[in-house]
Amino acid sequence: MRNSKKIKRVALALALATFLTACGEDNPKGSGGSNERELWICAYDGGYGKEWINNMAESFQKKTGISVHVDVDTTILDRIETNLKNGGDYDIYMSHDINWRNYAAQGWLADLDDVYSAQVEGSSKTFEQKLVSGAAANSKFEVNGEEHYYKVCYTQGAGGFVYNIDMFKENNWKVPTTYDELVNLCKTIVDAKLTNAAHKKVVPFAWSGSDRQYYWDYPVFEWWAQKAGLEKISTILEYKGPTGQYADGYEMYNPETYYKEFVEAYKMWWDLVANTPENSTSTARSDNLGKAQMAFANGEAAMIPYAQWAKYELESTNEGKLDFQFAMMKTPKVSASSEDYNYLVGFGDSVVVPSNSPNIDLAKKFLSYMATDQCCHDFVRDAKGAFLAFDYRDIDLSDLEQDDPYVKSIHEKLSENNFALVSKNPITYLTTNKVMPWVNNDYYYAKAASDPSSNQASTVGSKIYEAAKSGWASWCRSAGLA
Amino acid sequence: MTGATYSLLKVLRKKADDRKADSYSRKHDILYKRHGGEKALFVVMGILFAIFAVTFILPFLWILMNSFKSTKGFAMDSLAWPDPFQWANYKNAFEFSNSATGNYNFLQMLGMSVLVAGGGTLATVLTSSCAAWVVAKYRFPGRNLIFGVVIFSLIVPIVGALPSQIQLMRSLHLTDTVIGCIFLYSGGFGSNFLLLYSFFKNLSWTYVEAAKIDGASDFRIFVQIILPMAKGPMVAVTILTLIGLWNDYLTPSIYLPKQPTIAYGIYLMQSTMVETKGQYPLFFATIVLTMIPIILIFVLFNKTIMENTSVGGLKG
Amino acid sequence: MVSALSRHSGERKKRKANHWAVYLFVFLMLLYPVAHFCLMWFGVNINSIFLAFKRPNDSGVLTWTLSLWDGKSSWLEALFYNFKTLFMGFSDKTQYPIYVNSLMYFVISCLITLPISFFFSYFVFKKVAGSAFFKVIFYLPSILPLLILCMAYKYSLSPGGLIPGLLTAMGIDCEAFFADLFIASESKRWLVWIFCIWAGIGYDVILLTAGMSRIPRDILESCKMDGVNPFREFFKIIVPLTWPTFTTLFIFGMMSVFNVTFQPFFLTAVDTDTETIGLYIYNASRGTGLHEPATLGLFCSLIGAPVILGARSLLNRCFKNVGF
Repeated sequence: MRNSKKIKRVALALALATFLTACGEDNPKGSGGSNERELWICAYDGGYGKEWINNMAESFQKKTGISVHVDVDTTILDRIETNLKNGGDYDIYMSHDINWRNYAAQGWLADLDDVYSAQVEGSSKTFEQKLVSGAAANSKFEVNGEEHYYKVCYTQGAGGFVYNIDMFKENNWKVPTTYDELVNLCKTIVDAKLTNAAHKKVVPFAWSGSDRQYYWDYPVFEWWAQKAGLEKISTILEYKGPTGQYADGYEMYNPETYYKEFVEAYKMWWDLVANTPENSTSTARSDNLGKAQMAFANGEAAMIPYAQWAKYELESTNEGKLDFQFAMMKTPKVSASSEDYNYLVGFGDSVVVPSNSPNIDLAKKFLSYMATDQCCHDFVRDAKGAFLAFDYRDIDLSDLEQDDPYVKSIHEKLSENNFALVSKNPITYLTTNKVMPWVNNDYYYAKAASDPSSNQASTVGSKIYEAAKSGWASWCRSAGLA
Repeated sequence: MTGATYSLLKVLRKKADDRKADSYSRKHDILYKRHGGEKALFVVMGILFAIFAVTFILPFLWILMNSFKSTKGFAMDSLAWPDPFQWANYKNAFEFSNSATGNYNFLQMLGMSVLVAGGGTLATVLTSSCAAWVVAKYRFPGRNLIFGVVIFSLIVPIVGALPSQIQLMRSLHLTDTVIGCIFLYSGGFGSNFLLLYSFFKNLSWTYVEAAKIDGASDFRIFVQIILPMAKGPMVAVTILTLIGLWNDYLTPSIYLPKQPTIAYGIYLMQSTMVETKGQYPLFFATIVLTMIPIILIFVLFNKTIMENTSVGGLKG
Repeated sequence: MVSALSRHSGERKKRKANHWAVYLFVFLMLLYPVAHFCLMWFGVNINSIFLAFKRPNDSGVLTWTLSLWDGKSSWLEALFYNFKTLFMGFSDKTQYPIYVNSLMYFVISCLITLPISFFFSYFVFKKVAGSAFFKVIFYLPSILPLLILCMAYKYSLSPGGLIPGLLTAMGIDCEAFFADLFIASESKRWLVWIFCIWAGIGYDVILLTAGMSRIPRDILESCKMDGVNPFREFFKIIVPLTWPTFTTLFIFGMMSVFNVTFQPFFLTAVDTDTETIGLYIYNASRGTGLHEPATLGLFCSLIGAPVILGARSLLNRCFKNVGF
């Protein structure tokens, strides 16, 4: 009994100690000196890492004397809405999936027009002119009859097949340029019956079905663009019906008409991956990203679908370096005569400034600073091959590309015909995730790999159409388009 | 939880029977002598229970074992014995913090839990006992109304009060503050009220009368005589409420996202450690650390907890 | 002072408070709890009803639906705007699964977990070998944070985890089975359901054994003397005598239709295949459109409350004469 009393006393003391440590740490922003203004930036902690933002903040601080505090965070999307509304700590947010049009409509975002029209330091161009084409148009939004810029595009992206250059060279495999060549290459790889160092059979693809199945979108969207043409896709993205009315916008998902080519592109994937299980590692459909990365890094797979952040993520998971060189190929085309298109992965990603930030002026300075050639260059270096949404034609990257085929391959892919799938229809941003290329954000890649026959192109096509049709009226209503 | 309390209320009167329940456990009791088919049935059930118990224990042993591996070692074979032992996982789990966790590390989140759950528990036990004592023993206008409305609120299931609650808390400027969470928890008319109410109801008034004769005020009687007498049920209610609030995910995730308690913080840590970085062993070490205080409380107070769940029930 | 309190006639020992000091005492003791209750119960619920009749105007500010009436449709339609949106969602294939998913929890909680638990409790109560230890096991789900329990379950079943590893070690080729487990819509649902049963049994068993421990000893003794077999004893004695606890747990089970929130969230994230009403409300409440989850909540309360209260009085009637 006495013993247990002692334990209780110790436990109490421990609890008190932890309580005190918790109290000791207070929000540092509030306690800072009132005269010294500090710019607070929050960036999504994803595939670009934090070196780039730390370095950029440091050089900005050196240049302007404005001190910058940077946080990188994986959960900012859970909180951004509350922060924007009630005032949070940050003056700049950078992330994917920021529902910026919705926030702009609520008046939570600062108008950035003067950033766009101002000249970028060390350049004869304005900020707007420095942006890659399409970026400016994607950042405008009309609130109460006035159109303003409310965001800055974050990165321009490239996605597709990242491949093991050394393995391709050793086996004399040619980088495929068409879909048929890709299919043949896969067959060659499977038939070669190679094994890696750990005696595992080498297969064409490693991929993660459990948390990154949408990486397959990158080649599929490019095939879709090649088949349908950009004009048809931009019609679809308006999500107005054949008569130009919102009411039957779901017709855009009709697999017989508007969505025909999308379904065909999915079928190309289905033939290549779902219906040919030997082309993937055995549990790819349920693997998490870490496992897929490991399969590629161990030489168990020759290719992995990925986007521009592949190098950063692959290396950081693999303790800093892979044993071989790798690069992203231009996505093999539907046919030799098809036009090359680059799907701008993550073009919907945004940099926004809250309207209730006390440091809007500093935030704008920083945004403008991001557009300088030096920052653009350093971003590619620090984010290991990712590119900001600025035009890189005049920027010399030869020092980075010299011994890094990956950066070079991304740069080359970005120079193609770029396209994005950003829609301006209010349904797309007011009913989150309902209206997207995949309705309700329901992907079929993992499901199809697990059960190909119930997820054939025709079935999936009509499922998407039916889902859109059944919900359309209520989505329109929720978006105020009734 | 609240409904259970109410229907179990009447049972409370039979506290004496509870004491008798101890006698059930006597060995060689006629009640537990079994023969033939009955014996076989009990053996079969014993085995079934053992299997059920294994399904609970094994995953945690597996987590404990893998918390000592490297990320690569775990991916290679999750059943192999850790070699070498990666004690660094525990060090890293202690030190881990990023902006997702509001830059709070493990100990700080634990501190937030002590603050929020502890404060909430104290507040609600205090307000419940005040309300229960007065409603149980004093006659005043509106007494029946209060009691009736409270019972009604505990019986009628209300769905989806959260959006409205959030709006209200925002307009009171109670979001993102510890005080806000404690305020939410501090209700005096929840299930704790009913438990203490039934205890006070059965308390003899003679103690109060004696004290009154000595000239003690009502307040003094409550603090110096009644509360000490109610020590048993108060401790039980405190422990059970504490466990419930300690594990509460909903309230801190909505009202205190930037200063996470451990119950919410472990989700935030999981999102970085596992979902983004695939560091399972590090997360397993965090799980083990999180379980230690809970198990400690359970071991220290298991008798109180086990004897009183019959009455109050735990938060499920 | 003493004279201020006149002893109330009869057995019930209520004090008649007729002195100002006593009134003041009562007032002060009740001030906070009553104020808190008024705000957080009445206030919240009334505001909930208000929210169901508001929607954002063009600049995103929540406004009374009726004030946004354009005069083209009937005013009733304008008033119940949110409800019409809700009903339209019932045919939305990306939305209606949450209702089906939620209703399933009636089956899971009331018709599966509860009967199993009742059966289990009997043996725990009857002190099956090791019952003290099993009792601790049954406590685990109630004292551990839900997330930890979910993760232990999820990672054990994931490819490369505990169960697949053990089965593979036994020479059973199960890689494909476990790889598909978290993908197919059906198996994802089963995963969550089985988790809810696995983790839910403990809670029910604890309360039921507590209920059983209050059965008078002489009844059980005379059963034993008369040689009543366990099944007869279970159905004729134990079930009727623990009926109040059973009723309570049954009502809990019915409420789980609206309450199950984090089990599917932690196990499968937000996913149409497993999403429930509770999870939808939780998620939507964190966004800007508070009026839509509030409308759904009001609708569910209006349907759920009478059904649950009805079930309660029906169940209470079953063994009405049992009072001990």
